[in-house]
Amino acid sequence: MLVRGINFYTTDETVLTLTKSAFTNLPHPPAAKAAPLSGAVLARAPDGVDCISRLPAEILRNIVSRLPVKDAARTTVLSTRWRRVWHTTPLVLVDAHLLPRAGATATIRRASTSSVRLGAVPREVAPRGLADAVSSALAAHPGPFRCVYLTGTQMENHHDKLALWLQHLVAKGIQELFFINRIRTFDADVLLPAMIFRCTSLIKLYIGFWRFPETATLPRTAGFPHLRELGLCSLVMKERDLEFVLDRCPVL
Amino acid sequence: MEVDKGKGEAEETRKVAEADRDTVTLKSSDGKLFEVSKEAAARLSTVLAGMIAGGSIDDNGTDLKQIGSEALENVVDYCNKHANSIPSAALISSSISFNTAPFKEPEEWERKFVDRLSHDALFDLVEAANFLGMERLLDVTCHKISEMMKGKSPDQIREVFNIKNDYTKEELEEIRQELAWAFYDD
Repeated sequence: MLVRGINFYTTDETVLTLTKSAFTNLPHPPAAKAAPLSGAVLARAPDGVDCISRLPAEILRNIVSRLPVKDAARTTVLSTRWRRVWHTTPLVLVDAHLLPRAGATATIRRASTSSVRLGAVPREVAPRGLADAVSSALAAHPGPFRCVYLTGTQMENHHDKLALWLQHLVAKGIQELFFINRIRTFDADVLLPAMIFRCTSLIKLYIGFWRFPETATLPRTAGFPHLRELGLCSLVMKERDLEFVLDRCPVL
Repeated sequence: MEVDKGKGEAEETRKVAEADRDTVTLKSSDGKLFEVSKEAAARLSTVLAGMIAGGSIDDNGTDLKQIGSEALENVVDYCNKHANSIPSAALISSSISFNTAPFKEPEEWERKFVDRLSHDALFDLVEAANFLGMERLLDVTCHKISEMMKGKSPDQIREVFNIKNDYTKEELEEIRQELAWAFYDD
């Protein structure tokens, strides 16, 4: 579950312990990566008939919703039948699934030789890092967002992304959000924008390692009318703000 | 009036007899008959539950014209196995949790059940499960198909499922540019 990408050797020991404990307590994401063995055998349909594409779109969406986000988005290129399947499947995004595959350097080299044949994406178009990949994925999907897991980014280095991501989450009706800020030391103090209160479609919310926004200035109507599960972890938060939140979740 | 009343009584008796039976008989598109536990059928299939509740179950075999005998045999086999299996704690909790999503991990026996199926049988079973409103079986079969796609390149997936790429080179390039973040380590 722990997202790679932060150099743990430079991370404060206590922070590391707390981060690990936060991850242990997070519910597991719905779409899981392939077990090592399942990709090994390429059993194929014997008779040359395409059984999968004839399935109703609703079933194709059911299948795609179970794939890690990169695999899911890539189904769009299979054939014209698949063009809109991912776009019309409520988004499930786990940021750890956006990281390059282990041994990706070798894969990239192979891809560049085949790029002439397939017209593969030139390297300079490829996202520079995890935060960019998250931005692109959130922008590419029209919604609704069923479940988004953002647990791998040090938000103090990506303030610009924070507002953008929240805009997408608000506009595309996020239902389950797991938003953990990654920190190296306790000096890190990143404010979770009050815009989070505009995610009124939330059913589940887990947040960690943020400074919680001031609620005193929020309109009395602000709140999470559908929220049924709330996880708060390592927040800097005033007691009256906690009271405000609990008061504003009628079905919690 | 008398006759009508008699007919009504006979109908009533037949329905009582039907209600007393603890199995229902299903008939595939090619005319084969299968018996399945009424309790399991009603619990696992919204369509069969509706037919049982509405009294439209035929003693001589309820016609399921959309389902072939091989798929129906698998459906019945699944219902019977399900009736005999003790639901795990995970399965019970998933049905009462706040989880709004259709993501329930298959049980060990369910994995084995779909693993032994051929391609054709698997896809026929997905369609049968969909037609009969069998949410759990649909979960298990769709999960299996997603496992067959995970971590594979589009080319590999096309090969496994015999999908014909009907895009032009330009169209393909356009999508790959649009979703570059999903293709950069291909």
